Amino acid sequence: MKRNRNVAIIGIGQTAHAGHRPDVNQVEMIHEAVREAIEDAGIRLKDIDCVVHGNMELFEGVHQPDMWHVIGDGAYGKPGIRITTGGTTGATLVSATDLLVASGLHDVVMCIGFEKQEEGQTTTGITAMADPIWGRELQTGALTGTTGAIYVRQFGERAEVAAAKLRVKAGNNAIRNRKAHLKLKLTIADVMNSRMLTWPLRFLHMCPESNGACAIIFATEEWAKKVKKPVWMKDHVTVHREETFYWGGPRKMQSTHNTAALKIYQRNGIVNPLKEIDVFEMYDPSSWWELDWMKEFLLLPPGKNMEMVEKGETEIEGAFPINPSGGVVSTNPIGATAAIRVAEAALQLRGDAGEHQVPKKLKTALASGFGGTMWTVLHLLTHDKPWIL
Amino acid sequence: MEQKAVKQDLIEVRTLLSLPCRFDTGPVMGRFLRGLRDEKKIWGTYCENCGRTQLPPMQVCANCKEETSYWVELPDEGYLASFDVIVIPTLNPLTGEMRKVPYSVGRMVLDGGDAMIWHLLDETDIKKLVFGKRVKAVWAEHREGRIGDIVHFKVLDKIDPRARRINE
Amino acid sequence: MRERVAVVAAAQTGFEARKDKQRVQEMVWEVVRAVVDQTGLKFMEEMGIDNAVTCSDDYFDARTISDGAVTDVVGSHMRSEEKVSMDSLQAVYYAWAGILAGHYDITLVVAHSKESQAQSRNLITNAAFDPIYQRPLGLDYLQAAALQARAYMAKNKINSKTLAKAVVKSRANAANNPFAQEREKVAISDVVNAPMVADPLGKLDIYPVSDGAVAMILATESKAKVITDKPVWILGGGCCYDSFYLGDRDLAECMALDRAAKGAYKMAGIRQPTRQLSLVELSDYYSYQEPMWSEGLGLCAKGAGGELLASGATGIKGRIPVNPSGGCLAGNPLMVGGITRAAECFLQLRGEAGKRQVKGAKRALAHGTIGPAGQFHSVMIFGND
Repeated sequence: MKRNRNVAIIGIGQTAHAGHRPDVNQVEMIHEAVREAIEDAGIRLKDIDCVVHGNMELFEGVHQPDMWHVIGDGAYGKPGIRITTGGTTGATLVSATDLLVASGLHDVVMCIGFEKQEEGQTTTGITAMADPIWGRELQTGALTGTTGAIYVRQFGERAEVAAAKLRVKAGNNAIRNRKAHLKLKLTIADVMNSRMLTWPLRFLHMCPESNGACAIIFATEEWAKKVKKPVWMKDHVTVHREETFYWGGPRKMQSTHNTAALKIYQRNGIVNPLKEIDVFEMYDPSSWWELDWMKEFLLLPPGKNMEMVEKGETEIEGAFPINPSGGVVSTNPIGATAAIRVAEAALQLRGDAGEHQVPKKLKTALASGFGGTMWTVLHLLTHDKPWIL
Repeated sequence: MEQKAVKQDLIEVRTLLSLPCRFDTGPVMGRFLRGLRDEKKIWGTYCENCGRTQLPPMQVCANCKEETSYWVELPDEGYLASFDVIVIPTLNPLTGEMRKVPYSVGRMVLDGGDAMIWHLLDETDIKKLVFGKRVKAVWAEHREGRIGDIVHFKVLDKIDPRARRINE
Repeated sequence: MRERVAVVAAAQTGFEARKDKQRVQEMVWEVVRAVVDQTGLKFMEEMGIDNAVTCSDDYFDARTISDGAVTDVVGSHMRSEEKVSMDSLQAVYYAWAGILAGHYDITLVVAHSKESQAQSRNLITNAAFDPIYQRPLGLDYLQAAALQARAYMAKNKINSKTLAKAVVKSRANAANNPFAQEREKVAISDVVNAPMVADPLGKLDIYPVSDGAVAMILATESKAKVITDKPVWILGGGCCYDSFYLGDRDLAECMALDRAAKGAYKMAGIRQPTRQLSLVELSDYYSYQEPMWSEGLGLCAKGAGGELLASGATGIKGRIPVNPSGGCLAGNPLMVGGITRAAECFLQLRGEAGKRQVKGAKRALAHGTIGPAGQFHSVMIFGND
């Protein structure tokens, strides 16, 4: 893999994500994020040469919403692409936007991911991702306790405490993030006693349905010179997976998280991710998955993820902060969620994350997106310009 | 951006999106569904390149990116590998009706190999759902060529010896 | 000096009103397998196909994350795949960008749709209108097109008989295209007397319901030259959105197409399209779109689209053949139109278009469109030298 152009992130915008936004329609909502991104970049709408748009269209019941949203995202009279890959949409939008700038076809490209979850039936929308001939009769949205069950079988109550601890961390971090949706002050007992969804997945473990949008502006080195604090997209990897799952079966299911991580580390000479990466915004659809996927992404030996959580090493002030923003369990407007991971990672590198800023000098950040049938998109961002070209 | 205090009367528009569809099943799933309906048999596909048995059957082995090699007849019993008991009712997008809860789904390893099937279970008491429990399909009297031709898998009170890990 | 990008293989299923013998998966595998067989490439990074860019629509597929249905058959298990969910020419555009960026070297592009699956295509495109104002009016893409057709005809004083020529030509060309769906000849009177569906569009003025898939492989220059001795180079591309509310637009104009074409021509060094292009494959979902898009593409002066069509200049032996394949009117699902146009350009530029071959084809234009009344347009230019 080679790169033909360095690509910088020059502007970031998010709506204040919320459970209810009856005061705006979809277009007005995304416009909030677009305006914030443009103001953040210090550019004008006319400077943007291409708009990349995405969400999960069966949620709000609007087919091809990019057509409607032209009146709020500035794509009128401009090139654009619509890309939708389920939960990974936000991350794929980021990858696409990066590639469009790196290609030389465009210089300043904005991606917008959004979801106005309350305008549809989220769980039903997710159920519709299954094969209509088979799984759609069986599935209920994204609800599954399988990962938790595997951990409880191995570690007993210790695993439940660890998952609960992660949820508490997410709430505490979200309280420090003015954009987060659920800003919950929780105790471990609150989490462990919350309503069961499907054992051992409980209500508080699971991400909410949020309304929100995230806009990120990518640009060339030339443009980055005009901006106060550009940060850089160094590399990204996308790993999708077949339709069928094999949890618990005699053939171990390959982990896309692990595969993506190995690929990105190999390409970028990262030998010790815990040391060489300073902050990780991981897409955590549930606290159980945050617990399990830490191990997959960071190539941890078995049990080390539990230890790190028990010792609080992934807190904002910890040795390896994960999800200082509060993560997906705090905020989940699905089409935007994976983009928010990149936005938050970028804010951290810039030192602009306000109260949830990791209090260290940050040079390298990792951001992951999740969706589909366990798909992963991984982004590697750097504070300094990554490639000498 | 701060949210302004809303004083206006907010109007909302409600619609119901309904897209009637007809899904063709094609030669592979078609064969599988006819197998359920006419033969009370479960047919999977086998890839001789990687040795994996695929259920639902597939024309292409996802691992090898090549066409699968053989149809294999699979037994209708095995053991439980993973499971979920859903207690939250949600809309079934195929029918527009709310799903009856609680209901259980499981992924089961069928006897004779590594083929796994995803289907409903008859047991909704989470305490009785244990990794390794034997399961057996319950067939519908009247079958139509749908996954529902197997009503569900009955969870039996026996643990399969294959469910024991080497260091247990 | 950045390498160019070429299309090195392309395959189409035949387009049919209903492919009832195949699911989406089998339909897509048919074309994936064909391009893999054409090139001998493996699904392996660095030394084969690096990634896939798919194109499908969740509503037409009635499946959330519609690329989930085809991940297995596009070779993307444990590999990269990204889905474009608008006209498939944008999937080609995006794949092109990915290779120009240096991130990928060889990309598989696959678009599919089974319009026959939904009981009503119009119910789906009705959902593309905002639920607040235009949707409750009952608008769908067909009616938006009808409004645009009326506006275009009134402004340029073109009548239905002239527009019917587009359909007649489409069928005549499609007769020589083994992939096309509607291949029976029709006369102007057949078109004009066909049952009215949405005034002024009668049944034959409208693209038929269609199922099909198209795959292509794009490669960076150095690898393209190894894979095939007839690479088809991408010379330029441009795309553009118009505004959304039909009332905000002058429907008789196509600003978005003007801009998309301008961008593509600039990149490809095309100053005189009718001289420098050997053929044009434009996405004509309705008969009026051939003359109207011809104007936007600069094949004639504004307002002269009807004359151009009537003159025969866009016939297969004319000075600027338009849609030698038969175009979308001969049968293409909405999402798959753009890439099919590109696939035809590919065949033409390699001299593999059989009886519909445009002699000595050197440069070809493919066009895609989507959105109400052509809100979005995409143009790509291909060449064989």
